[in-house]
Formats: sequence, structure tokens, C-alpha cells
Amino acid sequence: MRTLYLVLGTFSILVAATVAFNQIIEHSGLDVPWQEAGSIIPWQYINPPMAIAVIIAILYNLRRKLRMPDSDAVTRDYLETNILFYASIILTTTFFSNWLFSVNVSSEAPEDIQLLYLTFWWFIDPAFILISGITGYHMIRDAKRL
Amino acid sequence: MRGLKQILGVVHVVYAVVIAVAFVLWPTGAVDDFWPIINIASCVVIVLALFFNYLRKRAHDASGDDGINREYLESNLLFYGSVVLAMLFAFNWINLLANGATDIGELPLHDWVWAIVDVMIAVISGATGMHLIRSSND
Repeated sequence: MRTLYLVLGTFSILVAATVAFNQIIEHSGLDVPWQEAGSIIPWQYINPPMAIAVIIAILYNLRRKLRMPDSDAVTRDYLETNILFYASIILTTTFFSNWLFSVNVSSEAPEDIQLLYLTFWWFIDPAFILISGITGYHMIRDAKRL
Repeated sequence: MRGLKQILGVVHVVYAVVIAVAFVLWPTGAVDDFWPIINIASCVVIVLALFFNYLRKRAHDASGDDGINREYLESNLLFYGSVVLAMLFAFNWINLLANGATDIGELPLHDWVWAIVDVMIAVISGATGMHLIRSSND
């Protein structure tokens, strides 16, 4: 279990760091020979690992919420666990909805709908960086305690 | 009352999953025919959530407990969350019924609001349902 947590936690942090790097660099105007589709690393290669990290986040945060001690006190653990769990639900639904749009209908959709989904990504990506990064950090910390 | 709470709790949790799946499948067009039914069901679920979350907040306010505890946070977040959700849903649904799926100007404003409403229903309905199931056992 310890090794699994370490591997999944490291994976979550690495994907979060990759998304952060790609998003920051995307609009920098940096001209690199391998650049495609306006990104340093094309998003179609980043989305599958993001999907795995999103599933890891929701499962881990659900497990953490279910294992929370039954008490009425507002503790750090209570706040962090609940915020991460509900944020993971929101991230999972919006990420998969947007990803399905990108994969299935993006090119055929009217311009205003394409703009709508593009603006969703502006919120999904920073949310992903935070949630996946923090979840990964918690998993590594839990692994050290096991 | 206990049995009713349990049934409504399960309905809320199941509906949270249904709306989350419908929202994820929205871009594929697979659920386009079901939105009129989903909107009526959403309206019922939101009204019930608003009612039960109001009862929960009122009970906590009446308890005289002045401390910041889990019940205080959860009852207030769920009640005010339900109020915001009900207003956003009513705004968009009434516009849809009166004007069709038209937007203001060039911006896909109403689609944006639907996305927020759908995600809020999944979270608030799920949390309300889980509380109803748990409290029916007390």
C-alpha cells in the first residue's frame, strides 16, 4: 500500500507540474521546433494522464472522507478533506465533459460553443493543478506514515 | 417521517449521479432528448433540497449553539448553496421556456449558467441526500 501511494502520489504531482508548465508556456509566444497546435506539449497527449490523475484524486479523496473520525469538531483535516472531495467531484464532471467535447465534436461545433468550452479549460486546468498536486502531496505524506 | 427521509435521501443521491452523467455526456448530444424531463426533475430536487436544508439550518439556529462546528458549517453552506442554485436554475429555465435556447448577444451565457447549475445540482443534491439518509438513522 505504501509503494502504491508513493507511485500514485508522485504521478499526480508530475502530471500537475506538466499541466502547469504547459499552461504557463502556452501563450508565451516561445517558438520551439516541436510545437504543435499552439502548445509546447499538445494537449491531446496530456489529457489521458490528466484523466487518470482526476480518477486517482476522486477515489483517494472519497476514501479519506469515508475514513474521517466521527466528531462535530471543525478541524483542519475535516476542512481539507471535504474541500478536496467536493472539488474533486466538480473537477471530474467538468473535465470529462470538456474532454468528450474536445474528442468528439470540437471541430464541428459553432464558434461560440467552441469559445464556451475553451473558457471552461481556463478554469479546469488551474483547478486540476491545485487538486491533483495537493492530493499527490497527501498521498506521499500518507505513504510515509504507513 | 424516517422512511420518507430515507427514500428522499436515496432519490437525491441517485439524481446527483444521473445529472453528473448527463452533464458529462452533454457534448456528445446523447442526452439532448432528455433535457426537458431532466429540467422538471431538477426543479423538484432543488425545491426539496431547499426545503430540507432550510429545516436543517432552522433546527441548528434554534439549538442555541453559538460555536463554529461541523453542523453550523454544513447547514449554512448547504442552505445558501441551495438558494443560489435555485436562483440560477430559475433564471435559466424560465429563459429557456420563454425564449428558447437563445443567448444575450454573442456570448453563450446560458450554456455557462447550465454548466454551473448542473455541477451544483450534483454536489448539493448528493450532499443533501447523504445527510437525509444519515439523519433518518438517528
